[in-house]
Amino acid sequence: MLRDITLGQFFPGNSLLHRMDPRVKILWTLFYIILLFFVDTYWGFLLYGIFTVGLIVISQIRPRLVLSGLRPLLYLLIFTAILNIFVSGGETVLFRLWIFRATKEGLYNAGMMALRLIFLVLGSSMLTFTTSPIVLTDGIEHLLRPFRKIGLPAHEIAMMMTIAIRFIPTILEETDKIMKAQAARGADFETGSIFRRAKAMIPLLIPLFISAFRRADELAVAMECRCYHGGEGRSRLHTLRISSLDYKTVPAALVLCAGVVLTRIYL
Amino acid sequence: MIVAERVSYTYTPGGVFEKHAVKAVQFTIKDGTFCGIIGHTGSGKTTLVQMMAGLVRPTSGRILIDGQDISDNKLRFSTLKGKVGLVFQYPEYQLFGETVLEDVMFGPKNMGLSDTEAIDRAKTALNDVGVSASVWNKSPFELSGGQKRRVAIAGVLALSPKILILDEPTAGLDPAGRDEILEQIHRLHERDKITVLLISHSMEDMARYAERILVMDGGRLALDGTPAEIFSKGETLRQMGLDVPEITRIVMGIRALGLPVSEQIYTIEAAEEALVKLWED
Repeated sequence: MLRDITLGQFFPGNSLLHRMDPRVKILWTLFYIILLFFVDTYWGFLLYGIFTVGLIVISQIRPRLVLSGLRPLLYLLIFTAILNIFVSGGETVLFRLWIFRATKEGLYNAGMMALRLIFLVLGSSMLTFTTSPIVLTDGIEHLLRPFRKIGLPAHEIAMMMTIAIRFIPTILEETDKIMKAQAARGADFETGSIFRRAKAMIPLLIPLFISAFRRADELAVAMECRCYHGGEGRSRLHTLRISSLDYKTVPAALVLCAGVVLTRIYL
Repeated sequence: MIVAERVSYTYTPGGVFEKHAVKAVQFTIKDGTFCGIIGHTGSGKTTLVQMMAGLVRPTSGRILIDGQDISDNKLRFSTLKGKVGLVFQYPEYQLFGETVLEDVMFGPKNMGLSDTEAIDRAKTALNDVGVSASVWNKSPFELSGGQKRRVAIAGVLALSPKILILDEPTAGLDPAGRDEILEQIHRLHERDKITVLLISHSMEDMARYAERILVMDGGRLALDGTPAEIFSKGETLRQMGLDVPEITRIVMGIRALGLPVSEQIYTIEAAEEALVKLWED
């Protein structure tokens, strides 16, 4: 019943992007996103397009999978584009619709905004496509470490994320099992009004919550039994190491940055 | 009557994780049979019984219950009318009611019975599994593990199924609790002439209660016969990661010493009888 839900969207592989250090990948993704907001010409977006296609080719992930990540964005794209066309102001009126004016400037802005959103999603999905959730949280923990000085519990946050990700399949399996068990007693989760269906969820949600709390409790005990006491002085099995591969990504980022700067100055 | 015609089930067909859980299984179970299903972990027992309860649709083949194809079209509970009751592994994890009675009434109410009828059914079911009336108005979460298990089984019994399927109903219980639950199920089988399908890893339980045993191995129905027929094939069973009852092995040992006892002894009672007879002779 629930088997078709894909989560994490990680596709295992051994491409250059897969082998990069997660910290470097996270930082470059942030860089990619920030730089995206400095792009203000279509030439700039062309540059971004070439760069992003390059990333997809290097990652060896099927382009169709990457594009399918844009599907949930569709309505947001349409909505922002329409909004931009009509409310941007400007002089050259293309056509009127009731009290709204569609302007040439509006159309220009709408295109910019749509491309910005598309690249935002493509760029950040390249991170999650090529980094397993566990490695990703590991990277986040490392990057948050400096903020511990101001009281940010970096290790605890990362541990919470890891545990949450780890238990997604377990909880899904459990949900499937309880759904079947209640269906065997005649529970009907699919027909009836919204009200009826919401009520039908009770026999599913109560056992699910109870088992989630029980699991949490058992896990806490199991962790304590193995002397877990937080991040202080804890060594790790897989240490993150910046390799020569990661240094080689610096020129690529610089080229993109320089390109964007040039489009801003000359175009 | 349950008829399985070349029933197969494949998880994620065509995918990377394709797994043939059940392969072309074929059998007929007559009404009122106490039938055991044994097999190594992952041999397809659970998938098989879930298909029989109409919860999972076979990838190919069909299952007929009283001549009605339950794998046909999208199965609705109303079409089965609680004919088949399936008790899952660790069924206590599906409890949710505010009180024990309310939880057991869930099934009958889903069948469209009135409150009074549902209460009657629930009370009968709770009595059948030996849950005393003093806890009927307590929260099911306050009960002990064994009590919870009984309440959950009562939740299925309250549907008054003609066919009762139990997937390892005694897993994780203490010996006394195990014997009691199995005795109660056996009594129901005798009293109401219901068909019982029992999945268990205990060869002793199989020898004691089952009239017929289905042995699953790697998704296939490897053996099918009476306990005597099945347990006479000790070597085959061992190859499948199963075994004969412990008492049978002891009797085999006694035979190996040269004493004349029958080799077809599968329960402690039968062994006792044979040994007493041997002593008297």
